[in-house]
Amino acid sequence: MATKPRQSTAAQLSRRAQRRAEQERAARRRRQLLIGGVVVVAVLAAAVLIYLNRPKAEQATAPVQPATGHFTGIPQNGRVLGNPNAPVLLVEWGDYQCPACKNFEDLVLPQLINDYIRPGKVRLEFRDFAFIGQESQTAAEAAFCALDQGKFWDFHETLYANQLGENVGSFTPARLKQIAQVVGLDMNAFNQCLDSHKHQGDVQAMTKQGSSQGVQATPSFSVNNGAPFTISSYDDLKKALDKALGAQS
Amino acid sequence: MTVHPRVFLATPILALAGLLDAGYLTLVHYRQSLLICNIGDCGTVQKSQYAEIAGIPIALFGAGMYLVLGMLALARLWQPQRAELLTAANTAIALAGTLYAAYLTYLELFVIHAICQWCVVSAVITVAILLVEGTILLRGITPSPATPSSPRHVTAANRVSSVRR
Repeated sequence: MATKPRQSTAAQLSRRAQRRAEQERAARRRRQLLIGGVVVVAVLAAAVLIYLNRPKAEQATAPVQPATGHFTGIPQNGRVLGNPNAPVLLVEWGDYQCPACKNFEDLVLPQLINDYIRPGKVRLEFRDFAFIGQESQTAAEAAFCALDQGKFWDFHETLYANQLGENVGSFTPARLKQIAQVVGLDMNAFNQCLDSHKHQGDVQAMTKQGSSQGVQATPSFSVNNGAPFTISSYDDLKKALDKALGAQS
Repeated sequence: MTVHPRVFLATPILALAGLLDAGYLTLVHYRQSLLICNIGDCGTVQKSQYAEIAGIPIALFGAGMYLVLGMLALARLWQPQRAELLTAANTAIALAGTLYAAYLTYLELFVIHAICQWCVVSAVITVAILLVEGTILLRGITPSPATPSSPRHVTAANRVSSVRR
């Protein structure tokens, strides 16, 4: 007699166990679905982000643009821009791949030209500090080849106008030749100069010289061959130049 | 299978660290001098064409991600009954973040050829959050074996919130 309730308790227990097992199975299925959903959503989201920010390889073949012509009418003597008798010599160390140097070229140089170079107060000399990559070196060599033809500054300006990014093919030999064509160089001489790496040693020596003078960033500047410094705005440069000009007068 | 209650505090702390890191990178992106390119870093990564999506700095996306991760993790402490959904959402975000950070690290190493150390820190934090959230999702939100007779499913999140009260 006493076994009946025990049986029913046992049956109850097994029913409860069964129910719990079912619940657990359902919970496991739900979690599997949830985890699957998590993975799918995450992979899709990452794929969209990557697609929006994919490398743009086609940039390297972007058509070569002519430069803006900031230097029209300014005397050019080799690497020096401006009146050769200007009292203050401003040296810029730069790398043709350096985005900050391009910013200087686009944003600061036009003001510098108007305020100091055209009026004949300052002459600007550009020196290579080619440190970012192989294209920095090749571009600087190409600028030396343009220097051989007396068109350093036109070529220099056109290089910056065609800077696409760092080590992305802005300054492959093929693209440098297109740039030379736009500038109007003697192509036979230029090709020969570039392909033979005529100025490889010159660029390396100039970079090394900058380094030994304390250049650690580009663009760096020096006034009348003083210690190199960097700027964070045109005002920094203006102050240094005004000081040097004040000392002259 | 449960996780230690303290694990539930890991994501808010990591997310705060990530938020500070990404916030710093966002500030740098906006305030870095446009006129200096240093040897070694050059601001190359932050100035690269990959540093922005549709004009918004990636660092700002990162800061937003950490903010959301942190808030969802805090919400989980206060709303343990929604722990599973919140954990799933956080895992999805952290997994997407990890995949994207892997892609960005690939870009740094093989395309831009420069490493930005605070970007690497951010990638590590994102992976750490993924590990925490993934662990919670896989192990933590199951009925605790310690309380089998409990009428409702007691989660580790429940327990941590009751510890806090």
